Amino acid sequence: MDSALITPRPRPVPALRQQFLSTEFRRSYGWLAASMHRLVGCRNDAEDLASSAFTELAAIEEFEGIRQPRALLTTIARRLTFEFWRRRDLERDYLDALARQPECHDASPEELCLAVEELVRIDAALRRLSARAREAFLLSQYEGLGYAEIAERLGVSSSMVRKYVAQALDACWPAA
Amino acid sequence: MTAARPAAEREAIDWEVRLRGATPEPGELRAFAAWHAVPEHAAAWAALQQRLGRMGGHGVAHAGAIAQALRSPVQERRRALRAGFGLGALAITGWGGLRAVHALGLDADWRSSVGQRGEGRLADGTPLRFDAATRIDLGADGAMPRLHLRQGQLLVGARGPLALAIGATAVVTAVVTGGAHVAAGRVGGRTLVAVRDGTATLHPPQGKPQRLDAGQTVQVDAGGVQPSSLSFAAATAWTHGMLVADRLPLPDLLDAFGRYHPGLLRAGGAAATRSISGVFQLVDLDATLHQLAQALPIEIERYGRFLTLLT
Repeated sequence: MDSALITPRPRPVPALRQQFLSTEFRRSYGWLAASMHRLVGCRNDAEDLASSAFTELAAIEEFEGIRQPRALLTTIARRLTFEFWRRRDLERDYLDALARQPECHDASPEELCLAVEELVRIDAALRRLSARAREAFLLSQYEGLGYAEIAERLGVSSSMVRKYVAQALDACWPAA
Repeated sequence: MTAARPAAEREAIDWEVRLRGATPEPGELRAFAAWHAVPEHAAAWAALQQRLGRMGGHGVAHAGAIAQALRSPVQERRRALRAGFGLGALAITGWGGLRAVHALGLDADWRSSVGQRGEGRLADGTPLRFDAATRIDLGADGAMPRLHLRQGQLLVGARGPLALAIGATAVVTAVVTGGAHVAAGRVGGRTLVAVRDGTATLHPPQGKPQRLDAGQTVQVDAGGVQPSSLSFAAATAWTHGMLVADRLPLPDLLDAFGRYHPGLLRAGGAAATRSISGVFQLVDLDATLHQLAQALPIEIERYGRFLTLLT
């Protein structure tokens, strides 16, 4: 690695942006971390969420468009909190269910971590579907039920179940 | 169905749904074999099966646990969130808020978060790879597809003529010939465009359009278009988690590092005036920053988990 000293061109816009961000950080970080603390109940989690929200705010190029930074931070933080809680719920329910399966061999922490990552991905994809479509897919994919049986359970036609499964496959499989 | 999904993939999904049904008829199996004999179809089928394999399914030991976790209700979390934040979120209305949501890329066609590279494909099969923290919108320019790289970097292997717009305000545009591989990226205030195989016509913010031939790499900034010494491989090193810098001002280098670092990286004081050349790995950025601080007379200060200052 070598280095040479040259003067970069003046870049007024990034400077303004940096100023906006550091002003906003000083003004709102404590406030946001405190609101998150009230919501999630743990100081460390609250700081992580507040930091992540600022990181996303910092990614906005057109910062001049932000009229109410705190409102935007709140919106970002809401989504992050939801994702954070959702991941915890999924992980907890998954581990609970595993613990109740004595025949299941012990998975390594890495395997569990990968499995939870995958759960989060599938969950996010399936959340775009209707409750019925989601349930139809879970019954088909994880419980191995046939279309006729799923149709009976959900009170819909078999062809509807096929549509649901197709929707779920489409949602879970990112286009190449 | 996802609009951008190639026909082979849509058909693979259809076949998966059909073959899941009760015992398929011999005629159906023959039809599937004929469909699968086309290499493109076989590839789509293999990709879908691989995805399904990762998702787990009936028969794997923990299938029940997966289903149970996926059934955990979402509603109470949403209610708690609404209660917890009260009216705060309602304040985000009007043009500023909408523009900001757009700027965040929550509505972008392709979007990657910090540290995560991604891949995609246009309707005509044109493969697209994009760097971490990248946002790309897909549009049309007449009959040509138009990719708007709002932020980050991309590498596209154009199947047919393709329009590119680079930067939040599309400050640089280019038209790419079919068969060309083009890498484009935004770092700080500058745009890097590299061409392999075909050609591209570059429209800089000022001056005349300029033709780029295979093997050419240029850098566009407020001062105009300058040739860059980076090879196509160097300009696309990010596809392997590397960054090649050629006399890049430190603030711009940190901007590129920021795609792999949650939080802000900023240079101040004398450090901000330095230009850096070198090859950096992006996977363990803390190690890279440490290496930088050892090689240069700069100090690294961390403010919480959010802000890292180099002075």
